[in-house]
Amino acid sequence: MATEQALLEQLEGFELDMKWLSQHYDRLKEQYPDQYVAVRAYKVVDHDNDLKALVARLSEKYQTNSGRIAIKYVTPKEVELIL
Amino acid sequence: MRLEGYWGEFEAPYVTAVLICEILGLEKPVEFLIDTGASRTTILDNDAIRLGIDCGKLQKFEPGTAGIGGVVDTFIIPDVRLLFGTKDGFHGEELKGIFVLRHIAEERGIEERIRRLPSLLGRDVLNKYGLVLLKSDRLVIITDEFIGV
Repeated sequence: MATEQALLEQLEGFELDMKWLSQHYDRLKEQYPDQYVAVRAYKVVDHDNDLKALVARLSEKYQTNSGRIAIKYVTPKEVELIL
Repeated sequence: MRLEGYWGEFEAPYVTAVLICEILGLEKPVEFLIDTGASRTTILDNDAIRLGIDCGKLQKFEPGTAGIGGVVDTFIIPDVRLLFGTKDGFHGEELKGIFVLRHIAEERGIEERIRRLPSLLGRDVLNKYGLVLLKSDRLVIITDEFIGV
């Protein structure tokens, strides 16, 4: 298991990239319609319509650091979220 | 203790935490929508795949839960620790069990909607603390400090 300090560093990077994904959603949904987009350090590192395939590629490429990569599904279709 | 979240997709409040479950060998970050309507902290379909959670290894929650398109398969991740970042370091939250939902999408339209569902930070955590949400000032705070209103 990683140290708490290492986990917090991962968390910080992940949060920044999740915020980046939300802030750039409108551009990304045009560029990668109906795709899962993976972002690391403010850069799109991969994308795919199939989340399992995307996660498998990221795990192979980034190994233990893959969990820190932010992923979001982007689509031009409008959805209201009512929970 | 003071956790600071942010406003994100759907103009909703979010917070991130590392989800730790030693039994499953899990320790990865998750973005949670702060949801006072959810009784229990819940991992939704996308995050379950991203985290590599194998529901076949988890205990099923037999009553089930209501999701998009009806009742969904619900599983329990036991003995979870959520690690939140704070200004001074971190805050750990121990939970006996959180839910994992698995929707069975038979229609393409429903599957599209499920793909956008975030994981939820529920009342099992939120009810222990004060919660400040102020969209106009972009404030999202979970705290055990006194909140003067």
